[in-house]
Amino acid sequence: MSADARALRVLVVEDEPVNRALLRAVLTGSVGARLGPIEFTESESLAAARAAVADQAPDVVILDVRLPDGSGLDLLRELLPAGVAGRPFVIVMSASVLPADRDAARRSGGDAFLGKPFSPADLVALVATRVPARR
Amino acid sequence: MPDFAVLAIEGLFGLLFVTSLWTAIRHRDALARDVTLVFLPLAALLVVQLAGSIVGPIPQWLRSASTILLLAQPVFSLKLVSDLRAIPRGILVAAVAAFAVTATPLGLLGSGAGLPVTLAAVAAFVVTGAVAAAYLALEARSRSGSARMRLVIASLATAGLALAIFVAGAAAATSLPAEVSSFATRAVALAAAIGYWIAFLPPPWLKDVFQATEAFKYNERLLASAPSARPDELWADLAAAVRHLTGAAAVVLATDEHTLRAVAANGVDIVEPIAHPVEPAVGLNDEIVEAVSRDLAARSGRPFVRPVPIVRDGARVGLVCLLRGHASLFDADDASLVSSLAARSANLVQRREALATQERLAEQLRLTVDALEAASAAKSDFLASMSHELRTPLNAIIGFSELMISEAGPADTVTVPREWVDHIRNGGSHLVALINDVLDLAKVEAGRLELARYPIELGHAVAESVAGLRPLAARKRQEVTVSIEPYVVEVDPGRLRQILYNLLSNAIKYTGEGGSIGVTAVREGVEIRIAVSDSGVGISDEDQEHVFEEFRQVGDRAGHVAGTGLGLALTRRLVEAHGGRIELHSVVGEGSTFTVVLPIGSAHPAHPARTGGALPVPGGGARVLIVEDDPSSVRLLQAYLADSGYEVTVAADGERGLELARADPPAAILLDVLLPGIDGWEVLRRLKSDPLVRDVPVVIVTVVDERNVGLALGAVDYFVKPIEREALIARLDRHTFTTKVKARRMQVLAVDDDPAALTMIDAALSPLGFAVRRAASGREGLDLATELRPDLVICDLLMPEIDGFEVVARLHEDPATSAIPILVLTAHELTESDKARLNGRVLGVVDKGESAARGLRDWLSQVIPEVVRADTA
Repeated sequence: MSADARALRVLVVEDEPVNRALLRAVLTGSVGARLGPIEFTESESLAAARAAVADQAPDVVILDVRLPDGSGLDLLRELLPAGVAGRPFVIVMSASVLPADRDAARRSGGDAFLGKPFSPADLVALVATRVPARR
Repeated sequence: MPDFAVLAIEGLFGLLFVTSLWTAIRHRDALARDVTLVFLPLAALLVVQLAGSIVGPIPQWLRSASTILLLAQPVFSLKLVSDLRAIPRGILVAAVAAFAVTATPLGLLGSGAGLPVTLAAVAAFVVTGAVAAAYLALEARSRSGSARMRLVIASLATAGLALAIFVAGAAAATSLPAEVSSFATRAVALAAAIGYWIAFLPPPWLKDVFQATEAFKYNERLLASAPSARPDELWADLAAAVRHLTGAAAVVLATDEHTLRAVAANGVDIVEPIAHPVEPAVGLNDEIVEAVSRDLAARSGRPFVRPVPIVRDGARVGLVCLLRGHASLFDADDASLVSSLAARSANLVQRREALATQERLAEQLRLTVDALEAASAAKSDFLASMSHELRTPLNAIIGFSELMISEAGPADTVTVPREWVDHIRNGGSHLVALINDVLDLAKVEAGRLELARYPIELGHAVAESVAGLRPLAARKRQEVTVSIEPYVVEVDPGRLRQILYNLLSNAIKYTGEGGSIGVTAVREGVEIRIAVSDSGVGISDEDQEHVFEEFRQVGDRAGHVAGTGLGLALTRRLVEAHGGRIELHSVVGEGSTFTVVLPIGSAHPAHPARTGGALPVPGGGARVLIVEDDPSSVRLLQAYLADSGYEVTVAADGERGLELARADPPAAILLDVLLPGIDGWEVLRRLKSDPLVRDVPVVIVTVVDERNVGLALGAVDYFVKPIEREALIARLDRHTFTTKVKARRMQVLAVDDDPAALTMIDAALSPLGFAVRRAASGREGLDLATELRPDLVICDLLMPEIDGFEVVARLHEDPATSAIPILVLTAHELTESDKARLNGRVLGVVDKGESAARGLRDWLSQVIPEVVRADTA
């Protein structure tokens, strides 16, 4: 990633305000500094997330599973046909961490799974190592 | 064919006659009588002939009589047939007429009557006999087995006899050689006699042969019945088969199920109830069978009822009743056939029932397995939910703390936004709440929830819970109104607060900005109803079913404040543990009302004079040492104790606490566990090992729920913060009572017009450390009580002028004396109205008998055990 590259567009889909605050702090704060400039967008629901995906074409989506208007995995499946080139890197982030939950995330097309509670350093490392390779 | 044949014929008829005569006489049976008549003529002939060969020539009139009797034989057969079936009356009349017209001249004139008369008589005999034979054949068709064969044979025999007479007549009319006609006549007559013999006196083996076919057929039919056939279907089958086989007009089948119950019927509407109780010890005895038969005959309008017991394993298990409109020949054969068929059915029913029981057990087992599987699945779901719920707050804690570490500032410090720390703390609190709820729920599940019940004032408990949540409501500009009648409820104060807190915080959580929340309590019959209502989002009917289930957060998740999802499940369990229930009324968009209903047994109107288990002696200046480091807790405890008249000393740590306690032993010590330096357990241990302060009662007041440890180490009581004021004071009053008695001699005012009683009270209480003042009348008692303000009044009820009831009432009404506890000492048996007058105003009643002194001390030992122990030590 070169210094003059445009900002990394990150969309967080999460209904829990504290978690959104945490992700914002991680990605836009000192821990996430190595990711360079970040354009941070938040959605509280599936509906809002759909609109955000269409409007902003995010590079990375951090996706909660249990959302008030449905499952985050539904959004994941909708994104799948967008093709490898146009599709964002999707990190499924859930407090449901049983093997079945991880499987479901992978089968629905998630690129990575992070269980809650997550380590901010892990998240940043994940984005830093996996996302540039796809851009 | 010589005379031997005649002898055989007549001998057989004689035998049949004697046998049926015997039966007719023994059973007084009309049918047997008619059978007897059938055999009478030939038997009479035998007698006449025997008499002739023994005593010589027989007079003519006797010959004529026997001839006439012989000619009557077919008429008798027809008469018998008319017992069995409905036959047109005309036939019977015609037969009798024909007999009378032809037999009379023949009998009177003998052979001189001439051939035409003889032939007419023969014709009448033959025709009547043939008609009778035809009817018997018809009857045979409606029967089966042995009865059918016997009727067929009887029919043939009757026809045979007619044929014999016909041959004889024909011989007379033609010029047949006498030998031929005589031989033919005798041969046919002998065949008829043998036929009658087989029909009416068959050897048992022959009957068995006749029955075997039917039994076999029925067996095949049973075997072919559907394996799924229910018992009542099998019984219905049996009833149909029995009716078909016996030609009975109807069949009713009843089984013994403690009462004889009709289970099947054929040819008649089932005649319920066959209400005959059957005593297990007696079983289905003949008396019951008789009664049932009579009953069925009367109700069905069919007078001939033949009951056949159903026998299984040697016991009668039911009855098959054959109902007929006419008598029936050979129905003993029917009975034995029916009995054998019924036994087979009974066995099959028993097997089917055993099979059904097995199937039922299998079904139960399957349901149990299903339930266990569901429970196991529910447990897995619970664990998954639990894991999810725990991870959510942990996410904030771990995430933000990790961020903090990386925000390194100068010299090992960090500088982070304030809200990060808030997030961490809130996550931690949420986790603790979650864990506490889970543990409480587990305690309830395991039946280990121990309720520490005290009488508390409901209003206080509500006010405290509301006060704690007001800031939350204020933030959403919600109005909280409380409208509660003063009630004292006997509950676990901590648990009640938990219940109220859960309901109130939910109400706040699910109610929007500017909404309103209300708490009311009313008594309704035997219950007290505490309602928490809100003007919030409401809960749909569908969700109302699930709202009390674990981890069910219903409604709009986006708008919810973090909750554990266990609150309402736990709330319901806690209410139920108090013997109450929780009700929910809610309309979406309008709000919800949760109502906690507690049984009245644990609630009564609050009274200005405090009542309850503890002797409510005011603090009276007793000194209490508080060992507690948290200033806000100290302030709260100080306020509680000072209000109740206690003097308070405070130590901020354990060492200081021990020092102060030893310097001047207090009446009681309130001890926290979590203290700087040595902890509360160690302080308690040291207090209890120091003779100087060993007897000072120690009450643990802490957030640590280790009640058993505290009591094991010697504490007298244990309170988990936050503290319920009423409960703490009530217990403290009790624990300091002994100290107060020792410290300043409690004053007791004894009111009684009997000097001996006053002396007795004095003698009983003075050794215990009480100062006893005497009042010899109600008036004096009231004056002294106002003046002295004693710690306890002991009062007689029956006194002149102002009696005990009056004293109690006036002490109670006067604010100056209303707080003084009263003990009634009386020889008077209290009526209900007496009790009502005293109710809520006196602490106890002791009988003033010979052992009044002992009664007093027993009573005191219950209220203040330390006093009596100290006394006897």
